[in-house]
Amino acid sequence: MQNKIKYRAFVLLTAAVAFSGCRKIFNLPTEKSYLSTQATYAQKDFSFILGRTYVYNGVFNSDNSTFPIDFTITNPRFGDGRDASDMLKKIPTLVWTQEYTGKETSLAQIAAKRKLENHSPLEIRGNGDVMWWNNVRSKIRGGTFDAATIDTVVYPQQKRYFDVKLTNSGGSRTIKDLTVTTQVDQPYSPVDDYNIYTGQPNTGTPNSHQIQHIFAQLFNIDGETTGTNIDPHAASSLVYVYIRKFSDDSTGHRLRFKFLNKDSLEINPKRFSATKWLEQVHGFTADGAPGPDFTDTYVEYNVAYPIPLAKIPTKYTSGGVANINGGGSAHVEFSYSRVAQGGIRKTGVILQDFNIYEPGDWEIVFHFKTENPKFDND
Amino acid sequence: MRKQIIWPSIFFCVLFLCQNLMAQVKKITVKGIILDAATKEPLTGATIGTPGKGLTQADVDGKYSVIVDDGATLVFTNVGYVSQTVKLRPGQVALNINLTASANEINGVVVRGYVKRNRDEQTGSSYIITGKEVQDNPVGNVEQLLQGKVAGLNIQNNTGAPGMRGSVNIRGLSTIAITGTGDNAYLQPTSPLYIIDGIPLTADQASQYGFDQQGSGVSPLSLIPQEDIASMEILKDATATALYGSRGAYGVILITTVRGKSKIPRVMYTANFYVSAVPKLRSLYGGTNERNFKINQIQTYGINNDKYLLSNTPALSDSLNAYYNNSTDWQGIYYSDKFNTTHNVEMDGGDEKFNYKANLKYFSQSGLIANTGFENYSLDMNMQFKPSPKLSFFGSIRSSLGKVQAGSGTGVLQTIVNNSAGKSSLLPGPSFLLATSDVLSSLDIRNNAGPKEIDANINASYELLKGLVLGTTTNYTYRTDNTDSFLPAAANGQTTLMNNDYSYYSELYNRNNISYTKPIGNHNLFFSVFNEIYIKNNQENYTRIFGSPNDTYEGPYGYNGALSTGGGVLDNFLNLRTASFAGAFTYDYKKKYVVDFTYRVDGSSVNGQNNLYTKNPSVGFKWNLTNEDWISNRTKGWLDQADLRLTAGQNIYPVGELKDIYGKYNSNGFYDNQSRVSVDFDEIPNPNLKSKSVIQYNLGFDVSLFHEAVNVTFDTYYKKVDNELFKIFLDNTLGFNYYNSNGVALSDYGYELTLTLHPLSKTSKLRWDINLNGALNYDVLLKLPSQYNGQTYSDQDVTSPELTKQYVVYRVGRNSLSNWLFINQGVYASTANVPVDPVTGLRLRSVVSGTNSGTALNPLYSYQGGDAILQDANHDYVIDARDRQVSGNSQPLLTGGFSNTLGYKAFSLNIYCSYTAVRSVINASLAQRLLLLSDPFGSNSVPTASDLRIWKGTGDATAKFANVYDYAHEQYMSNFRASQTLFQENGSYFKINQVTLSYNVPKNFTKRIGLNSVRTYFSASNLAIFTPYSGPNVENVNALGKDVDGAYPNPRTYTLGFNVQF
Repeated sequence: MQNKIKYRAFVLLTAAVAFSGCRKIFNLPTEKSYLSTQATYAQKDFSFILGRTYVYNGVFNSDNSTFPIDFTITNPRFGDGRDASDMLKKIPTLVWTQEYTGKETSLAQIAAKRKLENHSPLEIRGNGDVMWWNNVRSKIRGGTFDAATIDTVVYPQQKRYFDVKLTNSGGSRTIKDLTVTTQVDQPYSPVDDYNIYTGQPNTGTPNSHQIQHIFAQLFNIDGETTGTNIDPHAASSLVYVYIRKFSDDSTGHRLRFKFLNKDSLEINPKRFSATKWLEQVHGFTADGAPGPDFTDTYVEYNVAYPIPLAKIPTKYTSGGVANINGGGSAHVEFSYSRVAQGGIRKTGVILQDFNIYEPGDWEIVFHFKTENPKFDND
Repeated sequence: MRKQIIWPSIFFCVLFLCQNLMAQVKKITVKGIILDAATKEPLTGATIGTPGKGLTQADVDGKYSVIVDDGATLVFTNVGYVSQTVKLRPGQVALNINLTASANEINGVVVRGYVKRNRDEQTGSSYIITGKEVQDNPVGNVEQLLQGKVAGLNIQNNTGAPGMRGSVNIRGLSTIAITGTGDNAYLQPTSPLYIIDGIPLTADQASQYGFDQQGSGVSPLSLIPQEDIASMEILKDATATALYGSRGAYGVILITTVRGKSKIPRVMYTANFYVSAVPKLRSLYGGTNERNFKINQIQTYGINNDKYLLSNTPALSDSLNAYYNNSTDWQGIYYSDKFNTTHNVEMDGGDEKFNYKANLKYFSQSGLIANTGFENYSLDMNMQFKPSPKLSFFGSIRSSLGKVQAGSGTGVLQTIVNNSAGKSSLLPGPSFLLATSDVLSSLDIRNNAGPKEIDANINASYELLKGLVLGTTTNYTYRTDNTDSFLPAAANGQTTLMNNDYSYYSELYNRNNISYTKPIGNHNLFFSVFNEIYIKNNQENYTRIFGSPNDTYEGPYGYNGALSTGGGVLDNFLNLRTASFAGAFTYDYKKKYVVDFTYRVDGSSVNGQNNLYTKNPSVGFKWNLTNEDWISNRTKGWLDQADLRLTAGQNIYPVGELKDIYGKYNSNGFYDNQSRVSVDFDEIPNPNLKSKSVIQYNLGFDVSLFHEAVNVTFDTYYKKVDNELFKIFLDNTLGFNYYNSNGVALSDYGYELTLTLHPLSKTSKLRWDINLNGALNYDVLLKLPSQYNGQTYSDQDVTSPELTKQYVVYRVGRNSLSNWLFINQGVYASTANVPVDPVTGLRLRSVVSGTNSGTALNPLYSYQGGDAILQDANHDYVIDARDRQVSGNSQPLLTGGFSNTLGYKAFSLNIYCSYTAVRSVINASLAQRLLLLSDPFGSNSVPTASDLRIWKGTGDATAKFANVYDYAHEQYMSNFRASQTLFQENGSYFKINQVTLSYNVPKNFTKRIGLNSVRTYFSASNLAIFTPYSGPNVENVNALGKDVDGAYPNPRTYTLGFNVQF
């Protein structure tokens, strides 16, 4: 009997030896993802102009926490406690599915590279970047979103607050009181003639009645009467640029260029005969071929908005393809050439960098306000 | 050591028993010779006796003569051999005996806590290797021969640099401390404590591993002649190492040197002649092939004005230019096979009253790399004197001189050579006027470096009463190590450069002990107390001076202080005192149940003032199953021996430095004739600093079956390493930058199995011994300082990564050392496969330098077809530092070895292999090799890449490597960053360490030429490695598992050796 007990003890001990390597016996900690206690937002106040897409890059300092981290926006509110969940409402939004190259040969090709997805205006993506989508418009621009900034001073009750909850398998943390300040849309750029708080024509200061203008850039264009270079800023030879909608069609997709003389009569765009029309705007004729449709009063491209479509350097953006940091704004250049005084050949150029953020039928008008350009040879 | 107890006991036995002989009546004289059954060597000192009595011993030729009763039974015993009992036939007067070596690891005598004990009374886990196993293969460092021989002892011979050491770990990882950055990053070595004839040896400083820029990098272990080693014992668990506690936390290796044991003086001469062969080097394009390759590459992939630049690159465009019209084999210039010799003479003699030994060794090894090598001269002597049975003295002197040449590298890294060997084959070969400075610096640097060590040791013991022994040991070691290197002006921008490094190390060690053994009936008691004191000093000075008069005069040093660019006393300054008090108590009942208790109090001057003393207890229990009658009765015939061991205990290792405890003061020159000394605000002192502690639990058993045909030893353990030193960075609002804490803990647990087999019967003419061992070890990081919340990195600078750097992640709950890597998922078949950011419409980008860099918006950094697919872990369509993930384990899970010895008559063949499995190695060498394919304008050679599956063109979805040929694009993408899973490979391997064929020249022949015995052997080491790894050498990677380009290759050596006894 005693031997039996001893044998049993032996068997038990053998079993203990065999299984003692198990992790459980040693009560070892289990592996989990790392969520640093120091992880935080380096920037907590964000400002967005409605109608544009923003990505605030690198604002989240993960302190080497393990990605993927799930970022959730919680507790959206205004500074006075009102609900601000309108910025979390999902809205169909155009997103890219393939890379835009600037070499697409039809609108359909461009359309095929984008699709509609539901996104809320404010989003945080996987790396903590704070993002704003171009899918809402302020009431001033015919939308429904309350931009609530009508002045340079922004009160807390006009700001939207939110908290961000970080979660990975290592735990979760909440970073509190990030703010969003939304400004009313600026549907185009440059906006010298546009009051960025009210959407009305810009008068410079609130009490002024002096309308501000965008001035074109001109080179080597002589005045019809003066015979000297037109300075677009000089009172005697003002050249204004108007960027404006010519129809109320919110689904419009046309972009026109017009040139007005000092009598506000259209100049035939074909007079800018040295213009490379195929390289001005990534647009197409009504039939779908690359390039514009010509009339005697304007040239018209069928385009996709926004312009430029993405911050990618193409031949349609300022600086062209070689400008590797470019792609931020579109660039047009209209030119003609003539024999000037003394028999020299002058190539006149009128050029403009611009952006258009809001879809619609837009026209960009170059208005020779006080002096007409000279097209004829001397 | 074993012999020390056996010999006196035999001596006493003989003395006592002789009295009884007087009473015998009919006597005969039996004569004969006792030989080793395997080697047929005479067994000097074998004991001849009757059962229970020793009568006499064999002389130097193994001959004996004994007077016994006619027809008596004789018992022949010798340490390390299976004893043999023979009944004499009536009238028989001649009897020759062959004794077989004992393979039983369980019996025998061992030393514990500096006191000799019987092995079956030991509760701890250990393993003995005989001196024979570390012969026959000349090595600069005997440690490398232990690879794969002991379960749980993980040795990686990760450098082939002569005189340098690999990495050694007993039972897994004991540290997570990483020093240095980039390719110079290394894991803090946790070398076991070596005890040579009872004297501890300090061999664990980083400077002794060749990691440092300064110092010769030679390990003191390299100064121990392998021929002088009688046995090595590896102590693994806490109870075995308990009494070596103050530095025994990483395990202990006891080395016993050869003792004189022959009345007739013996002279043993050993000579080795060996060839070190260069392993397979990188295969490269030469001459025209290289030129055509580069031109073709530029024509195909050039951007901007590359094609114009091509015509301005004469090396490529001007093929008729004599300067560039070459096909130089640069690797052949640096790497070549070398022939070396070693010689060892050992003289010994004496008996148990007085014996002596002197060992004289010359070792030389020229490195595979030009201008590198190691030479060692050593003279070791010892003598033992026993004027009376109660009193004994032992004294020894070890002295050695090492000389090392490291060329232009540090000990283990040869970066300059590596870069030079990768030079374009179009360039002309070296000559003093043509070559570039790095070539000259490698070939013409003049080095005079190496350690010189002298070590004196005296030991006395006196038996005051029966069983009560007093002992004292004093040892003084002094080692200087200096490096003088001189770089000629032509190799260093027209200015000579002299580096001078001098360090000294001294250690005074004293131990006094009292031990008492008392058997009371069936109960045996043993008590021992001792105290131990260390005084260690170390200081290293360094100067670097430019400009000597010319390349011939190497000096004068220091004649102009303005030409010195720094130096002074390096931060490895040491002034350490430790004092320990220890007690041990062992009790056993009929040797069935053994209980061990030890308790040790260690004080160290590098502990904080508030924690000066550490208390280290240990307890062990052993049950010798076969000593139980109820078991032995039932298992007779098949079970020879079995026991069960259970131990627990703690050991420590001091880790701090004086400045961690007391802070540092800087001298800031003079102001107003007053010297200014101020506090250094980098590190805040921590008065609570503790020694690192290792708590270990061990459960094991030993079984010997079928007349020792099968021997099994199994251990399972759990080891917790606590109080690991870790830097904690403070808030920048505080005055200080960081402090050193004890906030880290890790654990190792696993199994060890040793299997020794003798499949053939003892009477068989063919001898066959098999030894198999393996260890499975898991390590887990248990704790980090709380502010790290469970994860941190070896390098604080992690947000803007250097892509070649290895970032090690410490994550609680995971293996302690993991890599932080980009996850590679293949190669983009075409540009259309690259994901596009839905928000911005941009293709996936690569951001190399910093997360906020503008490169995220630069289209040149876009991925395209043929680029590596790296996982975008945070879904932001940018590949940057944040996408890296924790991956891999640089420490092997499985290590072990296999040894197979076959013997027939005078021939013996030994094949010995080792293996390491389940670990990850970062193949930075392959990454580097691929990058050489991506630099057509550079002056690098071009390796062949036909064996690599490189992307072939649009649509190639199965490629493994990105399109390396598109150099213009690669400069933006860094597709070949080493820190990605593509280069993290399986570092398992099986290696044939050594094959040795030996032959004992027949006695009758050797006698004729006047020699006692001649043994000759041929051995080949580092023969072959079988591995799935694609790099040059899977073992030649650093302890962090990075295959650093520029590591010193391991040679394959072929040795012809002779062993002659006069």
